[in-house]
Amino acid sequence: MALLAFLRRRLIQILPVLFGILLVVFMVVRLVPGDPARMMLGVYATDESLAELRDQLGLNDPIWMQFGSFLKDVATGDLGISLVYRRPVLEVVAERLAPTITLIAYAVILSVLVCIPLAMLAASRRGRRTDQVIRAGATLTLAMPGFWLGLNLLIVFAVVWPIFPVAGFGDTLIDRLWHLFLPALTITLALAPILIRTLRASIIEAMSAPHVEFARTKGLPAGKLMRRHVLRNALMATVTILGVNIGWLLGGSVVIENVFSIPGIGNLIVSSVTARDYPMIQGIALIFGLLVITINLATDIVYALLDPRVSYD
Amino acid sequence: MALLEVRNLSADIPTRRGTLRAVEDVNFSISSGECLGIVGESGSGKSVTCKTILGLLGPSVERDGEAVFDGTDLLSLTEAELTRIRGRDIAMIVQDAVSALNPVLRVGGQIAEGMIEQGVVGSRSAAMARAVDLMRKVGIPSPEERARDYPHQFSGGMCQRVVIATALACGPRLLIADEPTTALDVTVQDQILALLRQLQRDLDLAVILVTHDMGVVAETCQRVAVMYAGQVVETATPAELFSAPRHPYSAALLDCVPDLDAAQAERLRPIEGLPPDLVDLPTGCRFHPRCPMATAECRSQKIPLIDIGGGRATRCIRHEDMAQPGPVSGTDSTTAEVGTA
Amino acid sequence: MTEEHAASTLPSRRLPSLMGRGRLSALVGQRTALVAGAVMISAIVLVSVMAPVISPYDPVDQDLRNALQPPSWTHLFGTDNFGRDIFTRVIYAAQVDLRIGFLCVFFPWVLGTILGGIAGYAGGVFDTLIMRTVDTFTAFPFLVMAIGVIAILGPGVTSMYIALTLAGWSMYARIVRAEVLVAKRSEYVLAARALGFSHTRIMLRHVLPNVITPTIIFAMTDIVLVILSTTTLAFLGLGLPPPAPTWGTMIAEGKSFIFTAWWMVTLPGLAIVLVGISLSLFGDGVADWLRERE
Repeated sequence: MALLAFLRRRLIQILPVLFGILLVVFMVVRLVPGDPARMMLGVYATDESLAELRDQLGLNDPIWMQFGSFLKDVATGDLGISLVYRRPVLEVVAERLAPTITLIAYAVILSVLVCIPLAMLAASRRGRRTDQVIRAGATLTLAMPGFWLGLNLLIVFAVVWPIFPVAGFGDTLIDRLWHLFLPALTITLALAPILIRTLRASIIEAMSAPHVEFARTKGLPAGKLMRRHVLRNALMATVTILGVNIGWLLGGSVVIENVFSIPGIGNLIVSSVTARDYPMIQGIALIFGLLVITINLATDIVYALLDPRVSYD
Repeated sequence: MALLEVRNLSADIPTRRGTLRAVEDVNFSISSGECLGIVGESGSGKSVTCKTILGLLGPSVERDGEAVFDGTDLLSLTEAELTRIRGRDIAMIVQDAVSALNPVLRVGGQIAEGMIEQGVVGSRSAAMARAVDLMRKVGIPSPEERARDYPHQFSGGMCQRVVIATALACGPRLLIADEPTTALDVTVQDQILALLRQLQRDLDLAVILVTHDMGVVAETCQRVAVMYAGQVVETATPAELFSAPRHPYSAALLDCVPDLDAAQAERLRPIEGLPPDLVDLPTGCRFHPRCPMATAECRSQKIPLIDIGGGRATRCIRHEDMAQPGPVSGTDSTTAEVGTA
Repeated sequence: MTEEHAASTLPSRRLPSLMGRGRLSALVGQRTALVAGAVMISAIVLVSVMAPVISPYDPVDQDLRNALQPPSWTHLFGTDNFGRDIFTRVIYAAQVDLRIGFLCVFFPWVLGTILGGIAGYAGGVFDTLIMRTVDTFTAFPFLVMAIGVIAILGPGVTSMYIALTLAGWSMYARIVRAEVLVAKRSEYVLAARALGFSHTRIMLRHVLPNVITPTIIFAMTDIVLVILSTTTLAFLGLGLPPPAPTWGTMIAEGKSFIFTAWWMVTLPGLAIVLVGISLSLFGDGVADWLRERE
């Protein structure tokens, strides 16, 4: 199986990055200036509790031994105990993962639905008024910070016209889609400039490709030509751009979750920083790193499946 | 009765520098079962002529004249009406077959899509079956398997066979082949040309073969039109053209062709000067700056296509002088230099 | 295409390299973009420096009797929950926000250029070590990386500089390394080596000037996103502590009042949008100009 071999090779390429991620995450607690245990527990902590925490974090061992036991713990799924929740980090993070992933997936789907038609419109009206309006709009939203955009959407669509809820994640699927619409729209508006710009360029490039002219000589009508011979090819560019920007998307979700009070891991990391919950920060950083490399791997696989020219060698 | 009759066809392409007169006053006709060669240097308007007929150029291109196909003027049709004709009545083969195929679609589907769209077959599976048949007909080995392959898995010659199969899919009556062999190896060129000749005979196709290769014309065409700077300058049969060209440009073009029978060093002569700038055309005959026979009249007067009998026509007022035996001599030796300067 | 695809095989941060072509400057023309951007930024800086002259109000002093006033001629942008004039705070904040923004592009640019240069020029173990670090750093989302560093160091301006430098240097290192690898094989560097020049000299006199332009082009597209990131960190409460005004903290304070005082959120944000557009114009203009010169 060529695809399996391709997967195996990509996984091997990922190993050094994975090691690096673990090393960086491991360093989080150790780099805290002064006494990490004191930083975490505050000035009023008793000596016993400090000693207990040091022992729990393994701060008394030589550094290489600490790293060894850290790796062993991670391998068994033990990311430590949250200082705030008093529960295993992994457990808390796992509960918070669903809203974040739902939000990202929602935003990606919404972005594709919004950006592809707009990019097509801009490309086919290239240089004319419609094109210029779309591109100017894209540049404008690029200059808007996501949190500000989100808050303004809230003011307009949840306060002035109370169409959408102000906060929360919802229970049923429909309820969730309704709750997450404004956050997803915010991310879409932030992603749109980049997506529309690149898509527009690749549609224009695809439209003038020789294979499109030849397909025209077969007697394909314009709509079919666009769908089968332009869009399909331009879609591969979309996959690449989404893959490349996934880190940016995940990072953006941190602040969007904060704005819309969505109980996801983005919101969790911010509150953990304020609460100096270092084991939690470690766990979330690790999850984010793993998410990024997993999604990148998935992008590569999707791309390889979409483009027959990519050989698995 | 001609299948396609092109009359006074012109095409103006707007560019940043001004209007580019890509094709002007082009006339030719072609009947079923006939192969018409259009020869000329690159930029002489051969491809633009073909694309104008099929309406493939953008809406910004100003077209004029008529291209009457089976009683209908193609230039008067709407895009939707033209779409019905493309592939079904008039099909096209392009120069670069490798990039003419969509890299992300399977070859069989690309052959079949025109048939499905034009409704010449009842179902998708019938179209696929016919696509496999066509691949076999154009000489692609084990077509059942190859139909499921992607273009990058085919060689250049095989891609051109796929393109030919695609063009033939809806049973067109006219096939426009725009330099079908230019991008291919010499041995493959011969195979493709032989295939085209055989298909033309078997299917009683009318073929317009655009090329800059005189050898291809000699082997394949019944009639030939020579183009220069957007105009047809001479039409004749290949035999007549080769033995007695009646336009100095045709003669010069023939001098560029290597001839294995003759002493090459003597015969091979490049044409002096460069083709004219199509935005800023010379007055009078467009060839006069490079013509060894040019006179004052050639420089000042627009030259029409002159019918010289026997189905031949030329755009040269000194065609009778060309009919005289003996070397062609210039009356004004400075003209050629003006052209090159 | 191939280059983008190659990039996607490695985990990445936000990718402004996609913002290279077809930008604002294409819409309004390169020179217009450059001049308009420069004028707008200068105007913003000028207004900010002149703030004490322009505004009769103090940015920090509270005036609870006038709390939550909507925009009017006395309070152009209205007042916040402590009765402070929002317009005054916005123009005072410009100095801080712009300085932080520029420095957060400058530091990563310096660090990335040096490390990327070493990786490309020295090669071998250095190259492997530095580029593996780049891969690791880009595996974390930009903002998550920055938040993580601030978590370690504690909130504050210095932490913000360090955080954005650590989060941002890797793209510069990648660009510089690639350019150095090209420059290294070029004729003039081979000639300089043949003449026996020292490594430092070759590096500083011959390689660096040639590899610096692409990094500046990238920095020009990077700067808008960095400004947005710094205001985002401030919004999350990880930047400058109150009461000193920054645009991000002002909007964060307004978050609790979206039901009653929309101006606390909407109007300070306009300043960020204005800066973003000015920098887009200016950056596009500079980048186009540099590209043309190449």
